[in-house]
Amino acid sequence: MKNNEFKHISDLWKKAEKNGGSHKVYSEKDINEFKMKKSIDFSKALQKSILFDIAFKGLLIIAVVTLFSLFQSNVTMIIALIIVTGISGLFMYYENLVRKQFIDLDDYSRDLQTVLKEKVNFYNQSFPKVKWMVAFTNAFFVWIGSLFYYFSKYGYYRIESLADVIVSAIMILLAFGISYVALTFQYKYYIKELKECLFNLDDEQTAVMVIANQQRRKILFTIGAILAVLVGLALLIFLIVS
Amino acid sequence: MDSPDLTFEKLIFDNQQLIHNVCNIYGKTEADKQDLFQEITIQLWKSYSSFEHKSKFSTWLYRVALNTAITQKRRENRQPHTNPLSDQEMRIPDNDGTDTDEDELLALQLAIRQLKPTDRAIIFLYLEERSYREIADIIGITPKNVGVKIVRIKARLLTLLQSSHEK
Repeated sequence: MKNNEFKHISDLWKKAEKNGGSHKVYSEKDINEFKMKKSIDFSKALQKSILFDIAFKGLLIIAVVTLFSLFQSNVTMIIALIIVTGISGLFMYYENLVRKQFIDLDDYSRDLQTVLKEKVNFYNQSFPKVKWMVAFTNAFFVWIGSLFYYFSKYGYYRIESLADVIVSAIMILLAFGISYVALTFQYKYYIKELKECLFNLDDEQTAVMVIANQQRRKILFTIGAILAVLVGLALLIFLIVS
Repeated sequence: MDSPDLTFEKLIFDNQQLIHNVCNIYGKTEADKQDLFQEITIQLWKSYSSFEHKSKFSTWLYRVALNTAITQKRRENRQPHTNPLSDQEMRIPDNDGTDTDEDELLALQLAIRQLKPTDRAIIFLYLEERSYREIADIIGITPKNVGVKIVRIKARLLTLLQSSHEK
């Protein structure tokens, strides 16, 4: 009975296909214009934001070079600037590696499951690291900005009390946190949807295991990154105060 | 004077019905469908140089079109609390008690759109009369798994169509 019912559906589909449907027929000229347009693919937007972040970090490093000359008598400040610049350089290198992964990631001529697996893998492993690195840029920007502000106003880095240290640390953490949370929300639904598609395709245990492994690695990375941020911040405060 | 560009455009022109069919089951409004058609054309053009004629042209085209449609960030994600009527839903159906083929086709497309994105791809390929082997190649699962899934999706689709008729 059900097969007969479905035959009617198949016939209907075939008939519609034969009649050509009610859609607009695009000419070869239209197709030529379409292929020249910019892609609105989601990963394209992410690639652009990574590229922008690399450029932004580059500009901040140029600003640090200026700060070297302004704070040349403050050895601890110079050390802090060197550390932060070194970290930025490493992050820029990693972000560039991630950017290159998009070439493989966007190869849509492969089967659907492979494309979904790679995308889920990418958004669960490489992308969370990029989120930290992009958030770091904003914290870096706030810190560099405050150094320029203090220098232009007082001629030196004016940290006189514990309250000053706490306010500076809160500003830096806020810049970091807001950016991190914004990025997380921006991609949350998309990643969730990709995972659901993968689960639906591969209802065997593989998908569950792959995602469980990735989640475990993600939690470990998050704990490590939080510890690194706290240690880094403590070190920075120590260098500034001492 | 057959440049590669002209070959590509001719190929897409000749096969545009396949792309329109993908757009009809993944795009909600006419604007969505047009955007998707454009995006699929861009992605096909990007992968065209790597198309090695090892697989059938239609297999390659289905892969790129379905990958683009499924992995694209959907608009409803940006508006999770609204559910605007699609162009098809806004059309007033013939109300003389008998369904025309067009009404039935619209009902079928609406029912397919209620399926999960990957299920949509499988049933779409089945309706396009692709073999289990070819569906397996496009989707990346085994032909046996394709068979199991098709049985489940057909049942779900019939239920959806039945409930839409009852309404």
